[in-house]
Order: sequence, then structure tokens, then C-alpha cells
Amino acid sequence: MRRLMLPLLLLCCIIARAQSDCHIEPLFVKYAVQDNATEVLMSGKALKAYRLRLFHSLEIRMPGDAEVADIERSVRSDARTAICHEQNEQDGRLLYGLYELKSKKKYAYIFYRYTPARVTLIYLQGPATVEELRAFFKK
Amino acid sequence: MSQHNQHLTPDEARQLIDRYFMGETTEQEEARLRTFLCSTDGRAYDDVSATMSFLAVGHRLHRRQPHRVIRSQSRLLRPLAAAATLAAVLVLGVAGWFYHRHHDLCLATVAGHELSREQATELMLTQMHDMFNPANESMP
Repeated sequence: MRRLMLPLLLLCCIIARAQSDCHIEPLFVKYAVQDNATEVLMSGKALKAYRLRLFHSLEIRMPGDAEVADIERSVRSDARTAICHEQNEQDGRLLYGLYELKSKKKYAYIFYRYTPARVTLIYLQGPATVEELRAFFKK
Repeated sequence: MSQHNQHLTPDEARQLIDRYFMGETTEQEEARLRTFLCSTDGRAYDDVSATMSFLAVGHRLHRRQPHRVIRSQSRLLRPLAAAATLAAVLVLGVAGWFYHRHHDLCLATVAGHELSREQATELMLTQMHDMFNPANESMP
């Protein structure tokens, strides 16, 4: 059993590393259970048409200042090491952001949008480019 | 042969005992010593007799063939066990990667309540549409 410990520990580390490569990850766990929150998690066939592998979103209706500040902080942390495609700010508050996370073999995106009525955070993974995503979803 | 049968005097026996514990006795001398210790004169050396018996049993057990066989088998199995462990870790890793990449997942929760797949898909499309078309937001 002792011989198995090291390989198993390594495997756990690899999996944990793969799942926690961005700062926004804990937000889904933290806020998804709230009464004013909506979480969507999709992967596989349903996303194939959009050239995506993973869609994970969190939307909080009528968010409190603390929630917005917390989410914004995490988004800004990830944005520091990402390619920023679009970003709007007003009075120091982030209103909109579209970031492409730097990754070796995959595209990963973070979308952030804030209005007083709701704050939306989306994490995407897949081979689709920003232009392709625009073409799919912009009308 | 004659030396083997020769009776030991207490002095000779004492010398042999000392040499025995120094590891300097031959097998023949040890045999003579055992004979002496079993004799009437040897009763004075019960402690030596007990120690020699204990060491003899230990020595015999150590030289038993099955132990060697088991040890050599475990030596052979060690690299096999390591290889099997490595293979199991690799298989688990690849399986986990495939599962993570190709697993069909479609779920949405509102206030902790789960929605249907269709509703989840609809929510995904709405959110993506709103993200790229902020001016005409579709959700109330």
C-alpha cells in the first residue's frame, strides 16, 4: 500500500492542477448554492456545434457589493495573465470583460459582465476562437 | 574421531566456551562441547547450554530453504509490482482524461434546484447571446 501512495499522490496533484488553473474556479462553488444564483455546467456533445468543450457559468441576480467585489477581484486576477480582447470599466468598477487565458494546447475564455441587476461570469474551454464565438452568438 | 570422543576437563571446557562465544571454534570442537555440556560435569554450565541451544535453533531456522525461496520470489515480484502500479496509474490517468474531455454533461441549477437539459441548453445560449449582444439583453 505504501508503494501506491506516491503515484496516487502524484495523480491527485495532476488532476488538482488541471482543475485549478484559474482564480474564478472557487467562485462557482461558493456562490452557486445561493438563492439568487444560477449555475450552468455543460460539456460534450451539446457544445460540439460551437467548437467548445466546457461551458461553466454563474449568474447572480441583484448581487451585493461584497459579491461583486469578490467576483471582480478574481476576474481581474485571471485577467492579469490573460489576453484581454475587450474590457469596459466605469468609476473603477469592471462592467464587461472578455479574456483569453493563456494555455498551451487549448483555448480558454472568461466572460464577465456586471449590471446592477445581475453579474454574469462565464468560463469557456474549447478550440473555438473569439471570432468564431462572435459568429456563433452575435446577432 | 578419537579427539571427538575425548572427555573434556572443566578447564578445557571453559576455554572452549570462551572460544565458542568468540566465534573461533570448529564444528568438531562445538560437537565436543555439546557432548560435555550433556554430561554430568556439564551441569554446572546450564546457562551456556541454554544459550548454545537457543543459538543453534536460530541458526537452523535461518538456514531453512523455504525462507530463501520466499525471499527470492519477493525479489522477483518487486519490479512486477512496481510495473503493475505504474500501469494502473497510467490507465487511471488516461481514463480520467478521456472522461473529463468527452463526458456529456448538461446541468443547470437555479437557487440550488436542478433544471432539465433543455433548460440548461437554453440558459447557455441566452447567456452567450447576452454576453456578445449587451445592448439587447434578453433576460428580464
